[in-house]
Amino acid sequence: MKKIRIDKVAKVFSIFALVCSVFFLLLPLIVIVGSSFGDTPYLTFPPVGFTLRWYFEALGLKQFVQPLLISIQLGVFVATVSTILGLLASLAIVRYDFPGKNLLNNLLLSPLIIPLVVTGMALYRFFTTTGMRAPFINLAIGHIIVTLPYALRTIEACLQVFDVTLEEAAMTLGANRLQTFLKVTFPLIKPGVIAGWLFAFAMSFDEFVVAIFLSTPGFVTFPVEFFYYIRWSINPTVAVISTFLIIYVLVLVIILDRTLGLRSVLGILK
Amino acid sequence: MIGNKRANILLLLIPTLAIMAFFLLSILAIARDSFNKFVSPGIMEPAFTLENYLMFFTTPAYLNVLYRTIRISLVSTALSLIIGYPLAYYIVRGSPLIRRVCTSVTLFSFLTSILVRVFAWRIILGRTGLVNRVLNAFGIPSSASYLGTELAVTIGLVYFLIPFVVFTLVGVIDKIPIELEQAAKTLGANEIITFLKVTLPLSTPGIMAASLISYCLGMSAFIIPLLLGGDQVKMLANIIYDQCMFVVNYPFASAAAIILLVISLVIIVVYQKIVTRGLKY
Repeated sequence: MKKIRIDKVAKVFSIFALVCSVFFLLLPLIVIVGSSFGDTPYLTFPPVGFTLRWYFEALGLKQFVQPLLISIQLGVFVATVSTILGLLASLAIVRYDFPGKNLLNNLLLSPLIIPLVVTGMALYRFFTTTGMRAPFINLAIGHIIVTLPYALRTIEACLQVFDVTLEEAAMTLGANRLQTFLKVTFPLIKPGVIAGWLFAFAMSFDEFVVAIFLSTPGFVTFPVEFFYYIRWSINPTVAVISTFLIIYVLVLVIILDRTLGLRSVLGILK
Repeated sequence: MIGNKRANILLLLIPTLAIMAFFLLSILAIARDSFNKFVSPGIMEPAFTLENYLMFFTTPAYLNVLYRTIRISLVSTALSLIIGYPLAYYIVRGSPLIRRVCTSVTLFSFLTSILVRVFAWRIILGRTGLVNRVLNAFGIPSSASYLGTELAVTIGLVYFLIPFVVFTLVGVIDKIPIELEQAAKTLGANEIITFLKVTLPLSTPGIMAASLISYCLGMSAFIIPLLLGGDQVKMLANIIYDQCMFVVNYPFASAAAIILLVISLVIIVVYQKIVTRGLKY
């Protein structure tokens, strides 16, 4: 009898803790979306009144157009390069045994450990002292370094469960190495490659710390522009732009779920 | 075929190694700069002096920032573990629906732009924010802003850290055989005893790993103190940025960056020791 009662209390308590945790994670997102509809010139939650006028106003904010284009171009370029580099490196790591492999793995994952401020400052100093003044290239290099671990891990995870005998079969049947890769290996690891690309894109698109070091007055990424905007104004258009960004993440989560499955995504991120 | 092996490995790795070499070189460059002598903003003299490090460890203002960074990171780590543990536990042990909800919510929060997440806390903690509105609704007059306090920075940091804690804990809790919990219950232990004597001790490696990761990320927090703490609550990363971009004291900024880097590397070395040991249990 007593055990059953204790079990019940424990169950109720743990579910309560879970609900609190989920609520804590969702609260800021709800607040952002909710306050974007408020009919007050300042931001507040719960919203007072209801209006869509901040949505029209936000769509008219011209200063975000250029940074948004820059961030998308940068993200696509960075994700593509990171995915290719990650694919090549993970083939070497998963398929071959060689001395110093552990060290190499640590080196490749080091951008996750090294504080972004240090990465940003080191690259900023390096580019300024060597006179490299092309902001797109500089930002791309910075973001490739930062996103490479994500691309690498995602593709590595896919390659690890890959059945090598399939390749051997293709080669026995007369396919050369390139044919084998294009017709057998790549189609099978495609979900990992797509997810790796998406991760790299998402990380680059959202990256702020390295970007604020490497942006120049005429060449600013979207997060940096957004930062300057929220620093000086606190009207509801900020909540509108944030809501757009939340919708973008929603789409991203759905795509990740379809390509890799949410559970394997968790495994990669740990 | 065998002669090809070395060539293959090299070909696959060269592009990645090139970019990583570039990265390491730039870090070595600031390590070298940290021993230079500051002359005037933007100008330094090549030297081998420890004065930048000495300045950091002897100026009360910088020491305060260091202590504050350590304090906020410690508190945030503890809180994010408490909030993250139930999520991780139910991602592993919950019903399919609960699993899915918890996983999506965690990922959703993780992938949402950090600026958006931090900004949301500004709406909650600000003068006209949710906290004050709730207090007012209960008849407690309050119009104070909680921004610019250590509390605000800590809340923002906890929020940022939770997904990392969950990812790490899930990996470890997943490896605990459910049979052990079932055995404890069959032998008469109630849910609380089972959790305290079986599940929790077996997830210790995960808790350790998650703490170290959170602490490491907390120490290098930059945007969160910048937007929630302002000028009053600066952390180590903010000092590095200010010194590099506004004061333009490159040797000192480099020294502060190297201090932060060394702290992070030490934590990670400990982390790897724990994780490799944890796998053997």
